[in-house]
Amino acid sequence: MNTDEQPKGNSILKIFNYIGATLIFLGISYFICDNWSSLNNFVKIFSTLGSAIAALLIGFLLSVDKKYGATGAGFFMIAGLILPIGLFITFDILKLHADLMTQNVWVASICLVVFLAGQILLPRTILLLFTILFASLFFVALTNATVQHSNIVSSNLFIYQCLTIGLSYLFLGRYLDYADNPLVGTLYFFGCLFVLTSSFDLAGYLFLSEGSVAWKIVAVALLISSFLLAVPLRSKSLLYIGAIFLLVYVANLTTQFESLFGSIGWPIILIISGFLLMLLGYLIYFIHQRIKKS
Amino acid sequence: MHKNYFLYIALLIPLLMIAVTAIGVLYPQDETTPQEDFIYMAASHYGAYHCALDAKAKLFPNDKNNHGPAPSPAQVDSCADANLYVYHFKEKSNVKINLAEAKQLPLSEKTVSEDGYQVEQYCSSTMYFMWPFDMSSNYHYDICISKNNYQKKINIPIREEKYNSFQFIAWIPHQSAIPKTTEKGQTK
Repeated sequence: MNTDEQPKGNSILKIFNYIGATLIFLGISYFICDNWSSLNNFVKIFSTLGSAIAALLIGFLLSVDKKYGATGAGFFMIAGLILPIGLFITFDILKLHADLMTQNVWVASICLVVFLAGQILLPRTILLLFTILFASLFFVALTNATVQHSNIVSSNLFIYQCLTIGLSYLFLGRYLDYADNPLVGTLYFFGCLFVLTSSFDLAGYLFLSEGSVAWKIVAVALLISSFLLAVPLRSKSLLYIGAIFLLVYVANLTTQFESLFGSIGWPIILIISGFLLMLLGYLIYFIHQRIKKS
Repeated sequence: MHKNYFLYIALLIPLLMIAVTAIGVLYPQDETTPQEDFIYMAASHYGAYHCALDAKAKLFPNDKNNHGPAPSPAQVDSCADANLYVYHFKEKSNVKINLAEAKQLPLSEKTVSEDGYQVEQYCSSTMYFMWPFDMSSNYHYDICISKNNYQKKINIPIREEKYNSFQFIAWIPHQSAIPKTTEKGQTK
């Protein structure tokens, strides 16, 4: 998987380009929001969708020449931020869809197609990032629209969406790890975060709610897996997020002590928590050293 | 393991969930419904809670819990476009009635039906706040019935009738002398 052609020494250049792109995006947004009521429909579409298309074209033109690759990435970032806004405004003004859910699916799919095509034609990390983002949003929008148009009411739909996206991110991160892609760390971080958050929520550990026994077992298995996989995947994100969720799990366990032991529950909770934290510290240090050696 | 397998799995997982969601939606659902119909109020303006309280006070004059604060003259005027409807579960239809007709119906003061169902507003499976680009002015919510952990949406035509406010009024325990129709909004 190809990434940016700029040498690593130009990382400061990239940072400045991304900050500049963010400021341009904020400037365009501020101008449009401030003058929204006085703009006609054509200007509204032109200033949003038009800006996104222009930014995309400029990004492609600049990226063709390796010297301006970092600047091109900045324009791709502007396009990625403004394109969905421009599409929503266009859909809204032209009244192309009355149903918000269907509109979300269309906007996400158009953005996904645009950035996926860009990534295939001109592989860049920023294009890959937005491709992954819009693919995730497309998945969420499609499942939302599917359920919304039925008689089903599912309060856990969002949790399952999170879990699915998290698992997908972890596998995608592993695939990109073979090419040392810069997005690997980010994918492992968000993947692990989403997977553990959703499994803990389904298990009832997060908000001290009633969770199913099956999910309690699965959540613990996933927690242990995050520690086991941290070394082969060389990911500190898995280690640290696993550590945070281990604390959450321990906190849940200790709340059971109060109901079991009554008034002497709290001292027992504190003592056991102290020992567990010491053990956790050694565990993190040990795994951290193993990651460094690998 | 070949590296491409990780990419295939990464793509397969969300596709699988989309397929499972689609199958779950298309699979015939359990059609258990309450044995009782119910009356609701629909209004074109938001926050017609005081209109519903006023209607309940007239329908249940002896129930002090339904008596909210006395509406102001402006609030009374704003209730002019608030209409009462009867929702029929068997026909899945909504019939418009007036207050006089509603008074003749054997209404229950309880919010839970005799077979344990409740009517809930703001039912949704989706998290709207996760999609920040809500430029549409057609934001709506769904009405559903719930019993224990079971929830099912019901067809209350809030959007089609340009209503923005739904208020549950009362269950109708006995299915007698209730105006019925096959067409929405028209009585026989």
